[in-house]
Amino acid sequence: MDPNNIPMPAEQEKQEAISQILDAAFPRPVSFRRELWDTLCIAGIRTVFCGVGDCLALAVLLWAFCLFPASYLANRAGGLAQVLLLLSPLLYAALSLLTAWKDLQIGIREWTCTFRISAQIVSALRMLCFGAASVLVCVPANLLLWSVSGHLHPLGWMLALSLSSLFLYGTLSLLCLRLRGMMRILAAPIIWLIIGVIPLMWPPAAAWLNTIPTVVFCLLFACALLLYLTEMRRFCRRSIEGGFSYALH
Amino acid sequence: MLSIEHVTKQYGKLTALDDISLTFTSGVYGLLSPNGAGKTTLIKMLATLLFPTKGQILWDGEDILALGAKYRGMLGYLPQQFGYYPGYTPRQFLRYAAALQCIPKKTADGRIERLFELVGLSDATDKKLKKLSGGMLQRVGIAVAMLNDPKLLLLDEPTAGLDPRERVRFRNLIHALSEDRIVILSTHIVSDIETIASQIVMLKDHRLYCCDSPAHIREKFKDKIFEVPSGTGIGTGDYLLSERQGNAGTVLRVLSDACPTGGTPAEPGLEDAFLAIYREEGRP
Repeated sequence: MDPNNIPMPAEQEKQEAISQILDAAFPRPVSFRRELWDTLCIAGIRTVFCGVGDCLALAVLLWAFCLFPASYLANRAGGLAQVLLLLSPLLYAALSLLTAWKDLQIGIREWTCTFRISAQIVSALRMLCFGAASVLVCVPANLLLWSVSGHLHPLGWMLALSLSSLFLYGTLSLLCLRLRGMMRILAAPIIWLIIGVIPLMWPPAAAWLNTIPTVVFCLLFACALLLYLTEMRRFCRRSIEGGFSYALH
Repeated sequence: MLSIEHVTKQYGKLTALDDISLTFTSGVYGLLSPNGAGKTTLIKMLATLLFPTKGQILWDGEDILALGAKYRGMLGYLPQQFGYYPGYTPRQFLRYAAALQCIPKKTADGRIERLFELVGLSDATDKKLKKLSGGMLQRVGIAVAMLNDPKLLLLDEPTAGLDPRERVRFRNLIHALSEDRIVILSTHIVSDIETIASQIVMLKDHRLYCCDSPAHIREKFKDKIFEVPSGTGIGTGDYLLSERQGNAGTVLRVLSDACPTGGTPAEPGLEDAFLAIYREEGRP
């Protein structure tokens, strides 16, 4: 080759080469929604819910069983708001708790953390599906309580309260996942139980809850949903140690 | 290539591993130390289940935590306590694991069949996992760990609880799987790795004691191991390692700088080296 006549790339070739190098060095960030959707498409819904059929059945049974005392309490004067606040996240909480507990009990949780699809993404997909299922069952449950309570409150008010309660609990449970040990999964239901029992035991709190207008609950629901999704994204992107307690045994 | 660079792991005030530096290339590595020395912690850090308090672990020069899913896609891991869904069959369970490893279904089905043949489970593919023996379950675990044809295979105490026949079978299997990949096998059972590991990593007092071939480790104790008849007094500075049944009855294996009275020199084994290295640990 003539050292004085080395063929140089054209400007277009140079730009293409630079783009290829930059694409390889700095891959475009994948959005959280896209990441979840891609994972669901690759793994499939059966993989996401693998081995948790019994937990789903138990949670649905528990939820259906709790509708009876809920109907009784809603029928009592002034009991409807407390019931909605306390029991709206019940299905979501039961599903999350039982599936997490089962994975811990059989020792599969730690192992699945080492797979290409992370255990956090699988948990996030499960929680989102549980959230969607809870929203869906909220409607017939609210209709039932609405008719049982003799149309005491507008259905819209009840739905707004229910959904606010559900997504506030969801956000709380995601925040509690930052804790260590069993408190990661137990803290949220314990805190929620305490919050829910206050208006049941203390009439002024119940009276105050009944005076909150629908629009406030709608705003609360929107904020809680936004917080829930933001915290879910943070949960998926956070580096979490998967084998802490086991290594200490 | 996998390298551990000045890694320390602390749980609060407890230091489980202190300033460990190691480099792994293809081959079988035996991680050998008594219980509680930090083997599981090290394996878990390599599996990205635990994060180093100090230092870093690199795969081909990149931090394994930064590599994330890409690193986990190259990793096969068999934990000490293998968790499974008892109502599933091995085939269902491997399909589940394949989906989590992003292996397309058709590719996975072919690979699952080959792995069942390799681990000798072709006759038990449709039995429920809860009906399989401990050895069969470990083989299911190995099949799961091998699903993605990993470049790094981590096995944490894989032979614990297996009978001698299953342990020999397991050793042969690991040996067959060790070509062109790094296999790191943690154990406190010397015979598990004496025959298959090309390098032995030993931890002592939560630090790296040595990373050497079994032959070199044995060599360090050449002319220091002696056998004396049972009942012979052990001299000051000598250390009783073990006893075994010889042709003329029970003999004691002793670590000593000079041949004890009535003693005969013996060829040091890896077990002698292990007992000599850890002779002060576990004593009241």
